[in-house]
Amino acid sequence: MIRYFLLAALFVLAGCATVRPIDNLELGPAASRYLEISPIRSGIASSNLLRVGLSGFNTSITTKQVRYRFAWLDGSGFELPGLSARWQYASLQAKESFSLEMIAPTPKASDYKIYLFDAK
Amino acid sequence: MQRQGRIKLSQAVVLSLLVVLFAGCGSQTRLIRPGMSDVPTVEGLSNNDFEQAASEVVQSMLRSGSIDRNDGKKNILVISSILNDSMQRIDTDQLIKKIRIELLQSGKVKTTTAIGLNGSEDVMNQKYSQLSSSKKVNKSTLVRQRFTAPNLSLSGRIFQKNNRINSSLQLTEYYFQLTLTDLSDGLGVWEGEVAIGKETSSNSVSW
Repeated sequence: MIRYFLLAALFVLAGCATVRPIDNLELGPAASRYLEISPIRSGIASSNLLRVGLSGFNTSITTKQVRYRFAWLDGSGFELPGLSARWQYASLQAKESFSLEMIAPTPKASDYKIYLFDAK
Repeated sequence: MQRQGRIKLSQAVVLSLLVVLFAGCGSQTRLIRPGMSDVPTVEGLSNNDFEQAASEVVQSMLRSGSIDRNDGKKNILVISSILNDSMQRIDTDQLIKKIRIELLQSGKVKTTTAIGLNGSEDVMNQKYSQLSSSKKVNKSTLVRQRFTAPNLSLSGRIFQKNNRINSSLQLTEYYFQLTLTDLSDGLGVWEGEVAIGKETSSNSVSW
């Protein structure tokens, strides 16, 4: 009986340990160790352009440098060029929440993908 | 015999040291493409800094809603004066062109090349009217020119501040200040500032 209980507990703990991927977000392996990401918000900005926001929390006790990029995709899944798709850096304070936000460069953008990695 | 062997050995050591030394002196060239994540940071203003400034400026404009129109028409932008008050020789077009490209892509703004502080940006706008007097041109292909007057003007200033942190370090800050003016009433509808700071050696001179 105890053996079955231990086995069940092991499965439950294993389930807790897996990081559930968030749609439209590619989180680097190093960054995923210290970042907690909230569900991504997206909508249409007043200028009729796709607007995407990501917020999270730096669980580390040290300030972390991350690099991120918003890739904008057209209806066929092709990436659209623009300055808002460039790699950018952010300094995330220890034990503090953060948010990143970007507006699509063109009305042709109907989808997006966010890349978030540790800067090192 | 042993002495000759020692001389040959020392010659070989010297030669290999020279090879290593010269290999170290050889310059390494690396191709830097826009948008790369590991673009080196320089003391002065680089293309990366202009991209950063232009991106932040356009994002701020789009967020503010100042370039939205309810009548379905597009804004016509004219580039006014962009002053360079920094210690660097900057082609201000490096910044303005990036902003123009982004605004044009957004579908909210078109930029006039026929009207400007120093006349037409594209001289062909003026030259076109002379084509009607040319015998070489098929007159039926000519169209009547009607320039669209701008309703928005973009002006700004770039300046630099140097501050000493300690005996060996200094902080160089570059400020990009821009204003969007509604030409119908002369009121500023958007203003933005982007600051880019660089910590450099106090011995370095950034111009």
